[in-house]
Amino acid sequence: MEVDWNPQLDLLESDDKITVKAEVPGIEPKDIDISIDRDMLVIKGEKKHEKEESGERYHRVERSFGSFYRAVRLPGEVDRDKIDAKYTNGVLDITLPKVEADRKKITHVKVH
Amino acid sequence: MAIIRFMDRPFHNPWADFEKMRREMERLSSGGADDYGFLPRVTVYPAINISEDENTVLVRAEVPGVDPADLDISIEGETLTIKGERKSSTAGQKHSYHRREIETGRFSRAVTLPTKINLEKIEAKTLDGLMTITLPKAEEVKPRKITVRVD
Repeated sequence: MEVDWNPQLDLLESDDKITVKAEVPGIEPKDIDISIDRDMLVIKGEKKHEKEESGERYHRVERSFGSFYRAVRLPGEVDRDKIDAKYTNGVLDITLPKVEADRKKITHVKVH
Repeated sequence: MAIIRFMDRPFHNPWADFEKMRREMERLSSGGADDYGFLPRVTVYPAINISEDENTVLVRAEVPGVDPADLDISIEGETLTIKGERKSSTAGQKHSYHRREIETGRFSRAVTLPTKINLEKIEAKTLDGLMTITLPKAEEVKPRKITVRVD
């Protein structure tokens, strides 16, 4: 698989959910594909090249285009039916609620 | 195997193969179990493309998650400066980070424009985290068509 760039992401965990935020500016939401395979969250898609107008000459090209791919292992079991993803201002925000059994399993360790 | 003469390649960047090799090495040595083919990226922020056509200079900058109200664009001579602040969207919430790659804080970036600009008619808009600044060229630098008179 040819991958042109990887989005930067944050992965956060709170008591009841896991949140993944990825920076994918300039993409139409329909071009983003999010999937879960076991505990692996995969974000992939295609960033189309900016419209090339006739006679447009480039002086500087730093933006990445083409296919992107990112896979992260989730730190807990999530409820696959309640995953929500929204795209705002170039940032993809995926909310994955934890399964009930995974919520209160904290063991506190005493420091001597 | 087809033999392609070096100069016959449709596009040749002498460094492309080295870059590809470096990426491969980096991928192999990173060894992260949950990252496949992670590519290094430019650390300068924001990433900018600058292009020009006949009448305008276009600057496109990637500013995902930045509130347009937090962006400050200024021009001095032929230097364009983009300033702003990347704020954390999760501040104040109770959580722990497993990964934190998205940076926050103030940024400032200056670039030299390729030509003189008509300062009166600059426009900037943001869509899906992409800011497009349209800068019309100054009248005196616009290309002029010269008609050859035949007597």
